[in-house]
Amino acid sequence: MSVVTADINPVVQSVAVTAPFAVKRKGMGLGFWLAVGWVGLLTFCALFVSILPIRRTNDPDFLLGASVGAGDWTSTFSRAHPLGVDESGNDLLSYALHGARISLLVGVGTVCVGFFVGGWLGMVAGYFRGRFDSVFSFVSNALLAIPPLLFLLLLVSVLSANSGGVSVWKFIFTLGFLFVPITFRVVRAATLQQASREYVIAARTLGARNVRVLVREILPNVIKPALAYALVAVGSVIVVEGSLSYWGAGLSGNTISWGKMIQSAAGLLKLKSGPHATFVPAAFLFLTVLSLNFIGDKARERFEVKQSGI
Amino acid sequence: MRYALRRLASVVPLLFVVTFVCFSMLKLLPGDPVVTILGNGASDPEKVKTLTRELGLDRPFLAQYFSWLGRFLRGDMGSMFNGGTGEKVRDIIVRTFPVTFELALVALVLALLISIPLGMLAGYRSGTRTDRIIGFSNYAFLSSPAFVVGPLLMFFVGLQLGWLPVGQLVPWSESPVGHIKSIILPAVTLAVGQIPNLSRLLRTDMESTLKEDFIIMAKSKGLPDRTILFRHALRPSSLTLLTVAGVNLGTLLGGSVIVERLFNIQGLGFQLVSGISNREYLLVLGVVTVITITVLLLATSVDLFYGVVDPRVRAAR
Repeated sequence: MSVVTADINPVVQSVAVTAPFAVKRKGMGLGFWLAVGWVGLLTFCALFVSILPIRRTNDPDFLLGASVGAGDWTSTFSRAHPLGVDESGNDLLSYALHGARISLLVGVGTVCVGFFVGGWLGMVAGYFRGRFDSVFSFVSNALLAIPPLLFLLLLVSVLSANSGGVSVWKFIFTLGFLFVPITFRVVRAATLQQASREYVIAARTLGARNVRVLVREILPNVIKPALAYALVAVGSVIVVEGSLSYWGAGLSGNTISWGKMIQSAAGLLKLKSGPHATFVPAAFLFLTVLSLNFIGDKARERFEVKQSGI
Repeated sequence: MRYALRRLASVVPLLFVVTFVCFSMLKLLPGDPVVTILGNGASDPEKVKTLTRELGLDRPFLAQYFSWLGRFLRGDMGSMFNGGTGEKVRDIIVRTFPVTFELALVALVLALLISIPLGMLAGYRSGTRTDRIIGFSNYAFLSSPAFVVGPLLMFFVGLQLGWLPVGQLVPWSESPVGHIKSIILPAVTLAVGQIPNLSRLLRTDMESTLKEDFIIMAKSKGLPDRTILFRHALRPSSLTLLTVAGVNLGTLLGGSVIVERLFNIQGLGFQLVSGISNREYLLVLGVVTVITITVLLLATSVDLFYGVVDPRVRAAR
């Protein structure tokens, strides 16, 4: 792979670069379990946020009871609002959890779409090579040559031009489409590696059809590195969603997301009067992406050790 | 040389695809630019018709694309629709490109300044607690997007400590010191994302360089570790690092769009966002194409440069 195509996309690159970072220890380490714990807790809260005893918005009774007036929204941390309230009296914990819901949905959904399309294409291209491979490789390289954020910004503004925002599902499919060239490359590389291994040759010598070789032999071996990569990818999709929302080119109307929370709170004046409204969603986003990166990398290390042990 | 030409030639079809994709996407943007230009005058269908013909918007899609491409190759990117001035897109890009480029360059230099010591230390102390701490901080950097780092820096360094100004870029001509001060925060914000990649690269290369014979030789001569690290090991280890750094300058150009918005800097990214919201699609097309060309050219020339520096790469071709 030439340097040009390998390094243009930060997502691909960070994965490629972290690979030699193998720590040879038996257990997964405390950090790994902390990361899993955080993602698990967050997923749980995101799923059940509507039935957890957390206040959603600035309902008037509640505000009176909690003695947080609109005037002193900066004096915040109380039992009623563990993480404080934002400018309009919205409970930040509850907003952050609703944001987690969207962020995780967008992250997982996008990666699924990307892998479903790009994964199959990548496997077919890596296995059969030939013209199909060169055409798709060319197209995916061309798409990856556009700085990804610019491309996304364009695409999302095309989508949101009429409605003033993009619905979650449209957003997932758009981002997923953009993920196709990246997953294509990851899966194709993994398939190339496997396609020349002895077990594949053995299967073909035994007369297995191409479809069978692909599904029964190659897929199980490709799916593990792909899954490890997918975890890291979920993290980067969350970041991308945040960046787009920060531009104001993200999700529509009343959808809550971390990016939008930061965007609405991070102006200079608001930073002065109530910085925690920025810090809370920023911390949630940071911890989540950090955990996903960590888990993904550890999973890949584990997988690589196994492979080299064969 | 032949390889160089082949590499350069391979950029051409890529550019073709990129511009075509962008062009078609912009065509999909709803809203007729003619109506935007005419404003109230758009109620007159005769006027709309004339202007549409003047701008060539009544011609088939492919014809429009190729006439844009032809003019672009001759250096004419068209002019703005609105604002009455009809300012040339080329002039806008020429004006704002240096701003973004400077930001990206400063960010890259800062990223290198931080990641070289980190990477060297991690490679030198590979496997120890220092290595793990640096490794963890790399994870932290990797997980801190610009729109998280930016507000934090603004708040703590800019507002709480008051060390550096927050807000618009002070022009160089006005006050060089002010200019440098005002570019630090945006550049650091942009640099953070680059640190993990660069320092991990250097760490890996450093680790393998330190195992080579000439290092053992230097050690047995009794040279102090510091001399060995900086004098003997850094140069052979930094080849990949510099290559990637060069390529990433392009990534930084694209990434600076968000930092420009954060810190209110009027660079290419600023123009891009305003172009999208005002339906100035010639401006958007121009900005995206120029950035993409820069990215591709940087990547290609770095790839070639790699061969110049390392004879092994040349032989492999």
